[in-house]
Amino acid sequence: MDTVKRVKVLVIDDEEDARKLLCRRLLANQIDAIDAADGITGLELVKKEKPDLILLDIMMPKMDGLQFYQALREDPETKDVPGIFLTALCQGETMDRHSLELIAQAKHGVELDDNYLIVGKPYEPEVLIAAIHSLVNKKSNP
Amino acid sequence: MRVHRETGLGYWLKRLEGQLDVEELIIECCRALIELSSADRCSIMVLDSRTEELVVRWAQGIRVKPYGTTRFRVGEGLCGWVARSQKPLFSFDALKEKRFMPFPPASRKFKQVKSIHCIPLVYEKRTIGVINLSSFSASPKFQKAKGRLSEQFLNRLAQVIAQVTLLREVEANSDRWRNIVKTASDAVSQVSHEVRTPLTLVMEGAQQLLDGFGGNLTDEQRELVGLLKIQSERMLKLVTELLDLSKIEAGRMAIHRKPIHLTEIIQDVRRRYEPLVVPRRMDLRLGRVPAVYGDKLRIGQIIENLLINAVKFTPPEGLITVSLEAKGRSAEITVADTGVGIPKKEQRRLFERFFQPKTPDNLKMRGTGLGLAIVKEIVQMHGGTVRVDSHPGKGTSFIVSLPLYTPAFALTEEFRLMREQASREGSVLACQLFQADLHTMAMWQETKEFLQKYVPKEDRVLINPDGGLVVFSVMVDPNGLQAMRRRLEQVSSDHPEFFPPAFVRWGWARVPEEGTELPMILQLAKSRAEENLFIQKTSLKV
Repeated sequence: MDTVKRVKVLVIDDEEDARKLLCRRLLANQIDAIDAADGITGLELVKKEKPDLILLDIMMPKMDGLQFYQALREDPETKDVPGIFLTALCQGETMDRHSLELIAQAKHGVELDDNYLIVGKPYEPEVLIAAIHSLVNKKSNP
Repeated sequence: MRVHRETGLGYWLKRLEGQLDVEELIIECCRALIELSSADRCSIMVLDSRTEELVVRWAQGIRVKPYGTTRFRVGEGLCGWVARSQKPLFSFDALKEKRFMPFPPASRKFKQVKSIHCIPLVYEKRTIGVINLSSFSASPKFQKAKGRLSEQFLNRLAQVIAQVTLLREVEANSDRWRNIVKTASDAVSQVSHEVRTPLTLVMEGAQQLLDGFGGNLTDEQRELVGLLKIQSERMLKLVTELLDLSKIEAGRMAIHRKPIHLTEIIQDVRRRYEPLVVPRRMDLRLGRVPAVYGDKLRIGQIIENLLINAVKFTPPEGLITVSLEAKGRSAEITVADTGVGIPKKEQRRLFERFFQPKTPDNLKMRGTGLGLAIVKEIVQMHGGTVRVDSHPGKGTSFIVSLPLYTPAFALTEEFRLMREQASREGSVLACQLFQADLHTMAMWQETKEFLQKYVPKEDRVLINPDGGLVVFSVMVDPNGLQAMRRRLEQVSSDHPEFFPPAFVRWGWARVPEEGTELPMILQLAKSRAEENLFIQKTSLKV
């Protein structure tokens, strides 16, 4: 019996349909998925479920994706969990890291570490799945 | 009124010719008028052409500021009569004048005047305002002095006030216009984003059906779901392009430029668009071309749009050729097709928004009509050009020309963008730039002293001969740069004489060159409208 551990991903998005579609896409690619509708619930779930990676929407009410990422980094228990920002902010193309870092700096005065990737919305399923595996593998074989 | 050889007025006339701070100057004129005419009070009223009312704009000798609150209609009171008749009026005992109207009840706290001298301000035959000189006592000195005001002086004062008034209006209108553009652009951004989110979900839902998440599809179901996906993609593209254009219009499309190689970008676009192009053939002819100074994503967008455009007008057996070559100091990208071609009369309109040339029925791929408009805007943002060469029945070529990267070009471009940014913000980059050597450049004395005192010799310095200043430092060490920035900021507040009287702001530009950065510090002097008069057209020589 193959006992390869399945990758577990936490999806955080305030849009219910978006979560549903994302989770189904992940499951179809043999990735376990759990989801949260906001950052606060997300942070609790990270501690409880210990996901390998977090898929994050950026524009969310109350706590946005960047604030969530910062909160994640500030807690020693969760500081190494990699993240993927899913964003339609930089319309039509993948947003570059430089812009995201500028936004993080300007909006919240935070600096991002480099344990993240950005995938533009709408995402190509293959691109998203490849991004997940590359970050998770980087974590297990640093 | 006779022309008077009053030395005091001669002095003021000179100041009127060359002075920059007009508000201050007009107040000083009021003071001078009081002194010369032995008046106790001087106010200058400006005619509001919309309401036909005289409003006090400048005054001296009045403790409470009557600005804006005291209004007289044309024809009303003494000043109203003067404004209408364009004739001066002197009244020794103003209260006895039939036409006299005291200040409105709200202004009763003003001391009552005795004698009054009203002088019309006429410019190009139009009344633009009235000067009121008044005395609290009926003094013979005041009466005698009324001939002392020279016509030349009054005419020039009228001219200056007319210009100030006009510029204020222009300024108010352009502010209003800027706000309208910004609000409209914000609305487009907001709506686009709101529309994009559900659209991406529709697309992903359709994709999941196509991927068999809901079970196997019949051919007919597959076709219908495919249609759903393609049409939502089209709508998404339209929304995205509208958003891009609104960003460009509002000057908010950020471009991050670096030296980049076009070959890689073209190959990357080819990889992504290969499926769209087939069954047409696609050829790449890529010559060796040095780097250009551009935003990788945006340049990619140009090539994508041109490629999509070519596919649209080329029959399935056709050929699309993307070529790249160096032409003088530019790189030329040509996207050529063997498609239907564009008639001459339609070629002019190609880069207009929503313009779609007539397509033959067999080529039914419809676009958004925005692709080429965006190409043109992005090319222009990069300091390049785009043109079309087309022959009906034979094919079309779009030729994009982008300047090759050199540090000097990059600098010039960064300055150009900053200047555009400055003008959108309503500030003026009050600098004419010269590549200057501190020792050989003839410059204003105080600027020279300033530079010698505060700017290290090894820094290259760009100087504005009008006294504004741009310091361009080639120091690469960021700590050194920070220190210099702090020093300049401190100096500018300690020594306002070195800097224009308006607001000073520091801007930054970084010019990356294979790992090096050439930081610049520059001074943006936010200009008040009247100063614009005196700032010559800026030009760049780097």
